Amino acid sequence: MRALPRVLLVAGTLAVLLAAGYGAGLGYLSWRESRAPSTGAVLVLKDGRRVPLIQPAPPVAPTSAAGATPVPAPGRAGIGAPAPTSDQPSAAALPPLRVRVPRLGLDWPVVLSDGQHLPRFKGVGWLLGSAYPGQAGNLVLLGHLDGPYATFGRLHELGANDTVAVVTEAGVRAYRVRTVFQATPDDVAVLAPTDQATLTIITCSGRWDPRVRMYDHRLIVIADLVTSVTVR
Amino acid sequence: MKHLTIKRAALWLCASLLALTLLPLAAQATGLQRETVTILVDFTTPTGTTILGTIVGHRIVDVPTTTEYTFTGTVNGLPAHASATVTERWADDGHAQIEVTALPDWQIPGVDPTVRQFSVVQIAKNLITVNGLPVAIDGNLQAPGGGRTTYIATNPGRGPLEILALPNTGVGPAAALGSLELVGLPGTPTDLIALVLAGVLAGISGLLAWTARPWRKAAVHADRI
Repeated sequence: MRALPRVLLVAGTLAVLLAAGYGAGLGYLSWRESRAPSTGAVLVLKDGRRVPLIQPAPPVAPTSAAGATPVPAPGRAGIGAPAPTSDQPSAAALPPLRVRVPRLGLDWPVVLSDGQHLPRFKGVGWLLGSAYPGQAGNLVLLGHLDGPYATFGRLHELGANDTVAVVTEAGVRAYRVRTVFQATPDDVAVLAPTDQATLTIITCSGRWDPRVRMYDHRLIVIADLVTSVTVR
Repeated sequence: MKHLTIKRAALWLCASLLALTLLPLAAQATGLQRETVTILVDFTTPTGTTILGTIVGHRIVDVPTTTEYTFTGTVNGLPAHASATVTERWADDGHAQIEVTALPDWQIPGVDPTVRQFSVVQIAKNLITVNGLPVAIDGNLQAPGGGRTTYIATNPGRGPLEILALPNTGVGPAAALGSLELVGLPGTPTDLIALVLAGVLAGISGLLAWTARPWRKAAVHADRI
């Protein structure tokens, strides 16, 4: 019984310290998230410019084009323009469920990917921060060229005017291939937001470098939205 | 009298047609609002489990709001899927009590759905807590019907993701050794030879250990007797 006050004192002190630590931790995270949101993503271009892939959502609807001053860049409409905010009200913001390339007989499930973690099964990654199917912006899909999870091994067979279908819960969005080309791995500008509804498909290509365990190029397929919604 | 009756009948007919025309509008006005909310989840647990996927919720906006949520994505790269029916009670924007009322489908390996009550509180811009655990989101939470339907949720405090290179989407010409890749092992010929050598060494070690066991010696001894 004599030890009870001491036990209570120690328990109380521990509780206060825990609460203070928790509060301080939340305070730090609040400060940190207000300055550098963890939900953001930035493309670091070859020339060092930084292009936001995801623009943090403002607390209220913006009344003006807030943000960084646009930096013009050749060849890519999205670079320099304010990235689309992720909280633009939309009735059709549904994630892609499958991607189909009818001419090549491809039909793969699509899951979210942050670019560092790709599906470890025969599936295609939808880059976090890229556009929703059918909406303005750059919808980016990533798929393995080879190996047990290969999905886009025949992507090089695609050509202009081929159709790529992206399936969502609401229906199918059809994209028509505009161009197919190779890029170097550091050419992240292909991921940049676009003004129009665009689909960018990426897989590996070129020569395998065993030292760095990766291919020296990437195959890029750019396609434009041709139909809005076709209900299944 | 007869003229008046026809006039009344005509008026009644016009009124009826007008009512029929307005009926759908009235039903829509009194009907419950429906909305679809999409949450992109990119979360890594302290034990290193990476959960990536989309949560799509179909809401019937009411007090409380009933929502059918579906998760589709990956856990450590492997496919995962789940669906749940929840009841959302929003005090205001950024404050909600969420109760899971049904879990008809749960195919998320390594994650046990024991918790059925969630308290969601926005404590600052871009930061909420879910049952006290901090979660980073983009912007502010809005109550159902508020207009916002897409969110991103991730680990707080890690800062924005910097993308310096396009993702590596190949495993090389040794991809024929796919089975190695499937179990998370490298797939080059050198690695395969090393793996085979390691297996042979392990087999020899096991054989030696087996022959050196006391019961084996005892058995041999008994044979001699």
